[in-house]
Amino acid sequence: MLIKVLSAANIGLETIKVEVEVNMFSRGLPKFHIVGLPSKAVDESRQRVVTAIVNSGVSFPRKHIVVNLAPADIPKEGSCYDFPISAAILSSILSVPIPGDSLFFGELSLDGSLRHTRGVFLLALYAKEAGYRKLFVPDTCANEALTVPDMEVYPVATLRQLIDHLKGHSAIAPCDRRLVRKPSIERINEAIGFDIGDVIGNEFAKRAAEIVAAGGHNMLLSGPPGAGKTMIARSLPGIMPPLLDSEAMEVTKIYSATGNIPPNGSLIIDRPFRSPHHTTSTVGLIGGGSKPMPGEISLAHRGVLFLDEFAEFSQASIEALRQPLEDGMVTISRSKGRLTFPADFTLVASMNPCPCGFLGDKQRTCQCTPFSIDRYRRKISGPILDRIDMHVHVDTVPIAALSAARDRSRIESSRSIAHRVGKAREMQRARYIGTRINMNAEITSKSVFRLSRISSEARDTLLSGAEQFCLSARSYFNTAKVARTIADLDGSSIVKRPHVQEALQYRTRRYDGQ
Amino acid sequence: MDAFELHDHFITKTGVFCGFIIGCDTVLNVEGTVSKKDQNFPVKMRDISGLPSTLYYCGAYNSTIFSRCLGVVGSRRITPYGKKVIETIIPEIVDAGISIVSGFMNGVDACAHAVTLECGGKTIAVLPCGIRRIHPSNQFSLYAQIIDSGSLILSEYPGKTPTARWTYPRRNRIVAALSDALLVIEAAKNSGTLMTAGYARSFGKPLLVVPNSIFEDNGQGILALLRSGAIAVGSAHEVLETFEHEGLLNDRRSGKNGGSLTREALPHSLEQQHVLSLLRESSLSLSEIASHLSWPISSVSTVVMQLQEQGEIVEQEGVFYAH
Repeated sequence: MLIKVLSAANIGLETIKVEVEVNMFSRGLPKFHIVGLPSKAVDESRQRVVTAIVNSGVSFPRKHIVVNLAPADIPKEGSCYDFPISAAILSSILSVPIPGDSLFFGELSLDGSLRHTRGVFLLALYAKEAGYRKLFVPDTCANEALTVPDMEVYPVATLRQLIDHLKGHSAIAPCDRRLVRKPSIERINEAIGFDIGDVIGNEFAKRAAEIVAAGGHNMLLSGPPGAGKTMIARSLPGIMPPLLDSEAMEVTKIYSATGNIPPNGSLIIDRPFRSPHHTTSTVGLIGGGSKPMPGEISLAHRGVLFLDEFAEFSQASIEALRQPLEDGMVTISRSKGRLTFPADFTLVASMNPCPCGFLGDKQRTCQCTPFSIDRYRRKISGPILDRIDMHVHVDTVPIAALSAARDRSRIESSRSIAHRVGKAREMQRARYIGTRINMNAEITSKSVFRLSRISSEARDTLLSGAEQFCLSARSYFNTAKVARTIADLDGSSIVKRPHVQEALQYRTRRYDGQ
Repeated sequence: MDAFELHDHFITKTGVFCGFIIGCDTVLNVEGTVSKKDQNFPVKMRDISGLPSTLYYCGAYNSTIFSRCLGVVGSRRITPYGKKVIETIIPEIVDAGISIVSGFMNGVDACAHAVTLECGGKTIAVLPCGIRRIHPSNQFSLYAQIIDSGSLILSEYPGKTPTARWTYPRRNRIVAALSDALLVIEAAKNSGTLMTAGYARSFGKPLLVVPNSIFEDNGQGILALLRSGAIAVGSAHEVLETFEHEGLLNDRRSGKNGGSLTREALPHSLEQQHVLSLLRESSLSLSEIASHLSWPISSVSTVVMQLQEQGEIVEQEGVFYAH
């Protein structure tokens, strides 16, 4: 008897339908084959399926079983086919039909229970698009599937439940959307809980963080060790506006595909904050592998990618950031295919001014030779520095100032800054209505002056500033964008001279070797 | 000048090739040697024994460049203070027609060469390596500028001879020998700068120093020199006095006092005055200015940028200094 069960395969962020065909012959020796380019994990699924079915109280038939995963020419990866294969075999054993409009997806445990499986959100998106309404998924993944509207999600905890459901003993009730709490805030974000109000002093760097949050500009923090660079970077997500619905969908898609959504998790509504270690490989950072997977830059999509000790990253990794920084996505071509992942992130990098870290510090003297400073700074190439709109010096704060509590009340908290940032974002949205631009950082150099309404007086200041500080063409336009964000924070529809003057303090600084 | 040609490739210390282009008018007289037998060998070097008898040069060789020379040497780790001293004192000395001799090292040396060229003076850079090797390699643009502006690069070593521990003191000897007086700006204890000063003293050249803080590393060498009888100077005027005293300078325009750079005074707003007076007391970062004045950081940024535009203050590593 031939049984067909529908499932899906996730390739990168794309999903295709997979038909699981199971045929049982009574003739011949008992055998169990899987065909259709199974990977090792799929091939091993035979053992899990047999054991799980036996442990669910059903005797496994001594027959010749062939499983085909169609389309047969696409390699199948992962453990998500355990459940559809066992459903098809059970349907054959119990002689009950499987509804044709349902998708099955999930990994089995040997005891017959279903395990949390990655990629359920992508499956649900595909189902909606292709017109399938019923999803049978592990119960820990149900919330994830429910985030896609109009889905009938059947949470399955054990294979036994499915057997009872198929036999009609006790049907599995589809998840009630009302019982699922409003999209839970997933703590994917290691930076949650940091308040910018906890950063003492360093008003300049805090203001820079505010501008970054409002305009989506990239930022390089440079300062002595222990100055608070990391604290400032970590407090950034807290002052950024929450993800828009469409953004949340994009982020959840990436996190689901990479298995980063925890059991019972649903939609991700926090801004991602990723801080990969500086030994991270280029593939880990950018994405790739023989079967391409999203890297850290994609996991930081719509959020912050914080590269601490920027100069310690490998040269190749740093240079590989160039194209994603420009395009907001990365295309990875490998022998097994070409995939595009979104990577629209705000880069926050931090480094010391010199190898010992104390160049320009007032309390301690720098011990580095000009040669070693030169070598250290040359690790970051000019083109990369040029793509970072804002260069910010962070000071060491004297210990005495840290313990003095008198100023605490005057320090602005994340909440009040976030309020200002939200308003500035709204101004940008209103201004760029009808364009594909969301934030000032996304304006192309070509249209900076057309879109950002800079007064002629401010433009003169910008021009003379560019001359005085030898700005490149790119950083000239970037400074204009930063000035636009400063004006937005000020609530001004026109960029005025003081806005440009403030923006020039954050200008790109290139190391000139002197 | 519209035709440019690639001068040559220079091997840097790390073995990397780097090339640069020099205007063709200077290429005509760009390299050569001069020995004791030649008439135009620097006179000052004839009298001192133990100095090389052959010099390799790059640039426009003209013996008048040696007639009145001030050696300017100092630390590789130049601070904004040292930079300010050079920018204040050197232009007036250059105006008096004095060439500036130094050792082409990072820091004070390079700054002295650069400032001299900026105000249209002549400078002599003495290398511790072969004449065609640029050391330190990051200063190749300064090397080109020196040749381009008709100044001179000297070395006792031919071609691309690498540096060695002993080539630096030998270079320092030449610097001291060529100078009529030596001005030391910022020197640490046990530094090469003190060695140059020692040579100058043994050659009987006046030794001038610019005082520095006793709390700075770069003040310790200065302190040692002052103890051993160097003359403290605080302006270009005092340096030129030494030249007058030596009989090397007599037609100097008198009456000009001190060496402060004159700037056109721009009217300052009240905010600008606040910031300026604060920065004149001590150098501060933007965050520190904001906390001193209790102003919002955005207006501090704006006011400081206004002052930067007027050239009243300069920034280094995020710290602002008033001129």
